[in-house]
Amino acid sequence: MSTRGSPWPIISGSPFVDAVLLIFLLFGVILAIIFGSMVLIPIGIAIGVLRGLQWYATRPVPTDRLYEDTVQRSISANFPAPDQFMDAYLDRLLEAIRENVPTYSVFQAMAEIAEELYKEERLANPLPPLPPANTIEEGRYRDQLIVHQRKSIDAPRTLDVFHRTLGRAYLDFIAELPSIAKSTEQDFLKASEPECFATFPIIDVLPDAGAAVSALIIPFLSQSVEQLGLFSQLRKQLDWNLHAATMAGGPTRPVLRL
Amino acid sequence: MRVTINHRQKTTGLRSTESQFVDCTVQFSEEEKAIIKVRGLADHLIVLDNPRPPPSYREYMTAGILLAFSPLFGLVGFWTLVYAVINIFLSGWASATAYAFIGGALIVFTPFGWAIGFLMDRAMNHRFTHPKQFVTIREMLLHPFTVHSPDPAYSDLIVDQIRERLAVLKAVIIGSAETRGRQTYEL
Repeated sequence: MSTRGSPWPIISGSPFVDAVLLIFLLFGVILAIIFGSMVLIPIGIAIGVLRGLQWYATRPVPTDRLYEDTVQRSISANFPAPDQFMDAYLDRLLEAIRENVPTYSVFQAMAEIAEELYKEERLANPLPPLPPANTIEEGRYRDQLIVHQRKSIDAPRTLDVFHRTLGRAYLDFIAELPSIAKSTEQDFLKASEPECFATFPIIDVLPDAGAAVSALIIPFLSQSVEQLGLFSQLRKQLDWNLHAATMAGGPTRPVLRL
Repeated sequence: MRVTINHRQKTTGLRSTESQFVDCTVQFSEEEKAIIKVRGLADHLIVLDNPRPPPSYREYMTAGILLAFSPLFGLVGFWTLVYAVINIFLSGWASATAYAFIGGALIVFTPFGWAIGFLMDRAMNHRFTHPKQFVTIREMLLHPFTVHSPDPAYSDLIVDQIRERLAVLKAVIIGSAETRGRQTYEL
């Protein structure tokens, strides 16, 4: 039997030889698969186990557990309520400004701002309920929880940084005020709500408005404040203001910041 | 997004060159991670300089020598083995064993030498055909990335590039939080 014209040159033409060749070929393929598998399967298993361990070690904490941890830490931190905080804060502020007392209206504005900033931190408030899973809202919520944990992990330090930041900002600002915006300790203590014949915006009488604004802003940009995540909304607004002030015609694009 | 930049110097090029590297670790906030996942942004990338230094003269020479001489050593090993077999009849087993050992060693190690030379050559070619690297968000989430710098002064420029590109990437991520609604224009 001739093999001329056959597309398979391996075919000998004899059915017996072809069958033996096929059996040998199949046997070889089976051997190759078996020995290949003996090497590949353990390697595959080892890679799979390593990947699994890596995933297990780096997997994110589930949001409900993060929430529970945050609640626990918040309870143990025991931050004062806004009223309690304000009592303590005003005592400290009055002590600090004894040598350089501003007018009562300036002091009152400072107290109101301090109260608003403390309320905005939501340190003593219960956490909002959990958002739906696998959403962007959940990501934002997790960020809030992480920041809250950072603040409550060492509550005395957080309160200290809060006090010192506000205190430094106010003291530096008071130092920049003109004499017309200042008072004496006696007058300040005597008249808690003085009667004024006229009022004017304080910026109109500041000798160097830029220096006063800088004195007020710089403490909020310190590293300790940033590490704890305090005054986040205020710092975001300050960033935006700076961006707007440095762009002619106002900001048209979002701030490119890491 | 919190970015940590680290500078380091390392001896490279088979201990012939001092190279500078800029390592960058990107920690995404949970909101950013959620946006990346929900909007499918993991394959977005930034383009930076290569993480590997250019090959040194010593590396070129080593790869060339390994590629050129490995087959020759293989051939020598083969003929040494043949001579060892002949030597069994000429001088006995003791002498033949020594030749067999040398020939066998040459034959066994030749493919490894050639493979090392081939991989070195391939890596050097790749370094020149791909002068830039593409760092995806997926990679940033998994591990830090590295950029090679020819000198510490150039490292400052690399840091500026990283900051600029990551700032744009952050704007893309934050800007992708919400899908855009339908709009109709009268032009």
